[in-house]
Amino acid sequence: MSHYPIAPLACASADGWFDGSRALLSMATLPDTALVFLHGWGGSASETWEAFPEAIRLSPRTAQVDAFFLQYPSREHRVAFCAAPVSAILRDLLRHPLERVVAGALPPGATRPPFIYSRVVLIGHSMGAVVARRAVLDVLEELTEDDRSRLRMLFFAPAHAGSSLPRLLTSGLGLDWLPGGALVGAALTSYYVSLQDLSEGSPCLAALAEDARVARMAAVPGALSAADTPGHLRARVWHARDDKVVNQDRFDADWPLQPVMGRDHRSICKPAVGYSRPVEAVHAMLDEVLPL
Amino acid sequence: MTTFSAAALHRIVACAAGPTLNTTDPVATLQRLVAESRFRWPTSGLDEFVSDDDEALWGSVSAARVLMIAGLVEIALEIGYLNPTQLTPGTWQNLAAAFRSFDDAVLVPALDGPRSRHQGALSIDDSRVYLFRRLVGRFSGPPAAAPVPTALAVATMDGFVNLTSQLQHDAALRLFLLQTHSSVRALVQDEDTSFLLSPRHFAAACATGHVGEKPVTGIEGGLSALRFLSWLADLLDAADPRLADDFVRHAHWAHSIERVSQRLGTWADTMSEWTVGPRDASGEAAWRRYGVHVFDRLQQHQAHLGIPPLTPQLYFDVSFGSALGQVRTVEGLTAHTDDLVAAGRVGAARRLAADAAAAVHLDTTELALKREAARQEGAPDASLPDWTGPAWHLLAMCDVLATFDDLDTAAAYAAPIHARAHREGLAHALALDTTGALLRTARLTGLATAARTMNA
Repeated sequence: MSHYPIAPLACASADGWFDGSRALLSMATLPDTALVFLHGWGGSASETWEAFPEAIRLSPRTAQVDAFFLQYPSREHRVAFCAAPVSAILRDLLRHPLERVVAGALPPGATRPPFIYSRVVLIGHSMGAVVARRAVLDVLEELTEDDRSRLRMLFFAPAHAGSSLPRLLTSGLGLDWLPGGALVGAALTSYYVSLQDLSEGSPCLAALAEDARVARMAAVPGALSAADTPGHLRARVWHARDDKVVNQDRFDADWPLQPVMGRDHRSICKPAVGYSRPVEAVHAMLDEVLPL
Repeated sequence: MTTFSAAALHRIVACAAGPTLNTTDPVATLQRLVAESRFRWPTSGLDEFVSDDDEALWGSVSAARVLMIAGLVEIALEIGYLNPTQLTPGTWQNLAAAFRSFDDAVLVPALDGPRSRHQGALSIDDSRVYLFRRLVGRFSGPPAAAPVPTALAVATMDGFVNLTSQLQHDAALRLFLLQTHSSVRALVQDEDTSFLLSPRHFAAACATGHVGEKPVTGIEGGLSALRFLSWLADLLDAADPRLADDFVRHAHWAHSIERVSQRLGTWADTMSEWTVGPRDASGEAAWRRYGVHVFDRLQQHQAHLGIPPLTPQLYFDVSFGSALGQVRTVEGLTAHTDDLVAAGRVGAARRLAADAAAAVHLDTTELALKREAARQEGAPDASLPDWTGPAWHLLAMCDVLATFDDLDTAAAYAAPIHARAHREGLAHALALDTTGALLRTARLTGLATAARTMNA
């Protein structure tokens, strides 16, 4: 057995914000990596990432990985509001993982010695990618060079370049299984304030792009190419060919996108029989050599 | 050091024990549930989803939860997810004692004793009883050596426990399932017609829980059901065949899946008839794929295992209590609204009409439910409560609402009456021509709005 059973996550900094979140904790004494999963608009910690716990258990590569599946109120609140508690948990995972995050999810009687993750990877789907990047940019000033060097981002179908709101709604609510779902999605756009942040050219996305650019320039003044950008500001990005929900333009200095065939906005982040790209993407993050 | 098995037992009991119990001692939790179950028999319905408040009325929530835990423990033991030798000393013996006590004091009487007519009888071929008996069979001797679990079995079992846990916390899904498996489900499902009028009505119900000013239930839970059933189907795909069999046995909430598929199929059929722009061929194809992947495979799997249907039950009280002080007749309503309009208070008049419609809607629904319940009890036709009287007033009130331009509220109240009258062959008695025109107008208005939104 590599991991304990999935358990509810109750972290010190959350103040009830992450109700419904789950943790899959390694049984290793000193796990080396934290994967933090953020679902998209209307998604949930369990349903969006339903196949990932299985994938993590099945691979020896992830035996020393703790996975945190965060649930946040994506329908009710805007990106900046959702990002604030993510910033807090990110800071805790980088600085005080045991006492602030992990202890509350360990089974009764289980203990771990104090430890620090050598790598913390934020993994976002759709809106979750926007929330993740906002959280990183908002907490950046509080992080040391060492903290930043251990931080990475991996996004599936990120909405950071804008999205079709009706289609985002349709997918987020599961209406895409029903005929006429797109019509309902169109009619729903006026109800959910959080969606406005995800439309193409929204002030939220414009600010995200500008803040990312400023952070990059501050990190490496005079940098001429994306390759000069430090790893914590460059996301690895995967997009699905059949995704009609989000724009697939490149964001700031992110790595060139990885295309995935035969998948759509919903299924791109769900490993399945014959589809291991999401797991490979995570493995690639674990393989990356971090700066000393 | 906590073993995996100790953590697994804790997780299983915690997830099935429901949100009201929170203890770090799984055996104590189980013992408490067993104690609460005594003399309250589980039925072959969905007891586990009835709220604790209604337990006295409709069955034993605790007993159903014990069966749920027992089933998970049995599956976990079968694949080695739970290893008795890794539990703390005495835990296995205490578990055995608790489950045996439940068998003697609850299950045997439930299978053999007399039962209330409202409660579906628990039968020996209930799949939960099958798993329970398999578990109890393990307690006849010392714990057998647990098989070494495969990584895949552990992973899929973990997913199944997580799914079971999430179900307990989704109140909308629980309500949807109780409605769908109710003995008066056709009447309950007539209410769905309120939000199926058009995309705009569906959207309003989705986002606000109301169509116009009429509260609607079922939509959020129906969408949850789509997600949870898809998740279950994915787990069945991943699990090896024997484990998948046990998942299907244990997923009591997904039994009699044809009722869920029928209800959601009605939604899909109606939605595919919304005529805005080109036909939604991709949506229709997605629905067909969903049907094959989820509904058909579950139905076939359940039939293959000989799983009996859930017994329809009356999961809610059919006496709603009258909204006192409300106008109950259209004549009374128009007298008041005319006065208000004459005083220039059009908004107040519209509000009064909406409140009156809400009150009469409750009266009508209560009578229709009582009529159906009495019919199922075998009461003679002549003695059945008649709901058409207040329904006629309600439809007339909807016309009044429409004159105040509150077409959505009017249509939301009229649509279920319209559906119910057609289903019961009472369309003529209720003279539904005008109502049909009202519904058509509401539908067209909703479609036109959806078209404008789409184009924007």
